[in-house]
Amino acid sequence: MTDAPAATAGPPSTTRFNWRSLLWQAILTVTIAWLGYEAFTNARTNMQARNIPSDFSFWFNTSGFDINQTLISYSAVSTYGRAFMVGLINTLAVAAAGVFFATIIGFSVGIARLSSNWIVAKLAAAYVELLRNTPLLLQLLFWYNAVLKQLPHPRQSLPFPALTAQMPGLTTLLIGGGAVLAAAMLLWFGKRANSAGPVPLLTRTLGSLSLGAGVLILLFGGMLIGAGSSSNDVFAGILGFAKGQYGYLNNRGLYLPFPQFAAAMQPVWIAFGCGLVAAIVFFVWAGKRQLRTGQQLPRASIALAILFIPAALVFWSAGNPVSFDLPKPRGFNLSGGWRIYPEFFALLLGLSLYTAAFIAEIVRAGILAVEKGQTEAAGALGLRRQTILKLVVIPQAMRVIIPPLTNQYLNLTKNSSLAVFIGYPDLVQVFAGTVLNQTGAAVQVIAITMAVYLVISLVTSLIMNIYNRRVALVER
Amino acid sequence: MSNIFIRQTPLPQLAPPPDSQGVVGWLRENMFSTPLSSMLTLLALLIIGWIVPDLIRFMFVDAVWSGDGAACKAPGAGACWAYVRDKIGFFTYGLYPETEIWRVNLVLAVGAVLALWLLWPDAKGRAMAAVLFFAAYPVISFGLLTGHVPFPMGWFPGGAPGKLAVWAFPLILLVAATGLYFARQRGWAFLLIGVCIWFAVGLIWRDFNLVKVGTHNWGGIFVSLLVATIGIVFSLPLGVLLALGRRSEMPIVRFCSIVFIEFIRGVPLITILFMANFMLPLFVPQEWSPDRLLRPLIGVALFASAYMAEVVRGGLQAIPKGQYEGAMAMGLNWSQMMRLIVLPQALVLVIPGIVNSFIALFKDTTLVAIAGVFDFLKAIETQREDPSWAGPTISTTGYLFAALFYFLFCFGMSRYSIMMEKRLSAGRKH
Repeated sequence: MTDAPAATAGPPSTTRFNWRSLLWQAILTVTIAWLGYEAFTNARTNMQARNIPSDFSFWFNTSGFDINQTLISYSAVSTYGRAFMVGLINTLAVAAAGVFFATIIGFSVGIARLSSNWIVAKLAAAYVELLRNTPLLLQLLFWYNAVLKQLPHPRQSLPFPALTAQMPGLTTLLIGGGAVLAAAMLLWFGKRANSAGPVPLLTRTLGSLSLGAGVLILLFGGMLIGAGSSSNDVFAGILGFAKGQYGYLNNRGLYLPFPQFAAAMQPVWIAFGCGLVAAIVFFVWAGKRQLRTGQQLPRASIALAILFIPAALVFWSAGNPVSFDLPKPRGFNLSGGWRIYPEFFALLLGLSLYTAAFIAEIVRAGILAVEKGQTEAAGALGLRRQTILKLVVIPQAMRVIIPPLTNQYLNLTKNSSLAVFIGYPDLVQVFAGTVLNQTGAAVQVIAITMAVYLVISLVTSLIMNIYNRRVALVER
Repeated sequence: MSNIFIRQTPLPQLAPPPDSQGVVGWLRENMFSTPLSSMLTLLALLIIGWIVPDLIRFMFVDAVWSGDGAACKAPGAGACWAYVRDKIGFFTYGLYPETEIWRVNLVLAVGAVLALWLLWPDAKGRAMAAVLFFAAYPVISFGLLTGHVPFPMGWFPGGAPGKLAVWAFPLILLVAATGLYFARQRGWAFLLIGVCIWFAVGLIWRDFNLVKVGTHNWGGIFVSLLVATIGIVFSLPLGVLLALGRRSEMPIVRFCSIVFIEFIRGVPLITILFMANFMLPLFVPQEWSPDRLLRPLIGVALFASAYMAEVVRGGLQAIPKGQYEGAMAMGLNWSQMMRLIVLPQALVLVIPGIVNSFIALFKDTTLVAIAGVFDFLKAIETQREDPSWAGPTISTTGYLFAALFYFLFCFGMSRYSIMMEKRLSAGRKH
């Protein structure tokens, strides 16, 4: 290949201009243009011959089919466009829930795999290997057909969560033990907070959690017995739900109590909103104060307290204005309550567990990527283990973890299209399945479906690139 | 000074503390080192005790190894392996005619031998294996599996001009090959000789008269392996081209490669299979209507090639810049540089990545069921409803069998990939 003629001043240009590259590009362009033209004309001929619509007018036609799980209102007289919306929202719902659970499970399993406890590490490794080496579709079909569909009929529903059915006294033990543990943590946290030096992350987390749990149980516990009365037998309500008096599990789904908010809840939401703003402001201010003066406050616990306590007080003083729509047996089925369909549950379970296995490996790689010298140097500086994790290891590990993590989130979103095999009405099943079959407008429907997934992928990649550039190591 | 004691010999070495040695010591260190660790050990043992005995009981102790549907319906029966044994033919070959199964076995055996030859570390003559695997094997398999002649003999006119063409064609090719060989264009010469051999095979094939087996009869493990293998065989060259195109300095080539790769990687495989299944017949003239198996195969091949392009691109980026610059300093043109210097190193580097792609592709072949192809998982799905075997354990047995098969295959391939990665990075660790 010949170089461009050398300039008389400055370094030689690195872009090559020569006739051969021009020829190759011309050939490529002509080939692609010709193929595109051929495909276009063939498609037009074939579609006219088979009476397939070639525009988007089907969008406004009546759909004529029903969808059993919709998060927005939809009926058989809605348009195909509305059906598209239903499918899209279902896909986003299962993807969001899947991402949430997959992250939690994935991080736990990844950290467990690095544990010094041999049996925990091997269990985590077995989980990862088992789930990564079997196809996702097989797992979905297993959960749907071999587990959820084998549950009993609605007339013989299993109570949910029914902890006492498994082991008598376990529920009382758990709730009592949990209360004792929360009290102990509160006391210990108070004692630790008074001691000199920064409070470790674990203590603070447990402190916040126990504080929040205590507040929630005390102030909202009355919800669980249904009526908006102020005589709240809190533990009876919790025990009742734990014993399975209000939840039903059968092969038509999981039925749970659904909260109904009275009009008197408005002030509570306002108080919650103000609490949220105040909590964020406090959180940011406390961080800045720490950078300025070096004084630390237990930011998270106080922020949580600011978030929940005013709302809880308003709620309490308004007389607990919430009631529960409890599912009740009626005929061959159940009515009322919040029904979680087995298709959604199977898809969520399969996707979360499968993606969690991949996330576990990513987390493990990220934590191992931080050099041991960092931990040792932090220890030599006198930092305790929790602080080392929080300030030294995890920020560096996050830089390695986040790019493949967002890739896994994208994979989860794309894998949710497997809902078409188990009948969950997601975008592919509703739009590229039913709507395509009814209208025959294959090109338009598939193009729209692909465009949706492409937009999700590209937006996520864009955000990820921005993040990468911000945290990238500046190299010489 | 007689009451000063000075040792002349060292004391004997004491044994280490007893509870830091042996089993007890190992347990203390690995399972019970802190209170939290002990709690986790107990929790883990509880979980194992909950799952494993039930699993072993289901799979082995209570399992029904032979019998019929009634034996599997008996209360307390475990996994119904008798059902698997009864259906193993369908699970492996689908509806392929029993008398022609030797053809499938031959194709699978030859494929296994060639794959082993290619993947065995430090095997000799892998270039030959590559040529056989990527060029000869697809042709022979197509012929054996479908029964059609693997050469477009229909392009030759019939009658007397046909007979003349049958002699003239290879003669012209051989003469051209000889000319090219002596004109120092050995690659092109070998290509023409290859076409000659292909033609000869086609000629001989006509006398075999194999029974034609339509693709709607193919199914089971053999289709899963076929789809995955075809995916890899076509995605590797295409992926290399796309990766080179993505790194090219020609803007249009780079643009087209990036658009193709990002488009395919941004959409789920199911939508690509839908596109191949529904849109492809619309884009080609009526008389070409592609076969029912061919459409998802095209979709899978395109999908795999986009991911393979990224894997190969990683390998190309890992080659030090000095290699490119050295090749250019020696006066090699682009095609010589890629063919002789860069690609041999890059492709060997990404063997683990290619094997990982193969594992992912093998798992993704389960999705071709959406196009009506009877792959292994769909075969198991459909046979679940067989009334002569209906029972509470049939579903679980079927899924367990599928899970075992996929797990063994994918786990084996991933161990190979890890082994190759260790060998390849052995020279690079500093």
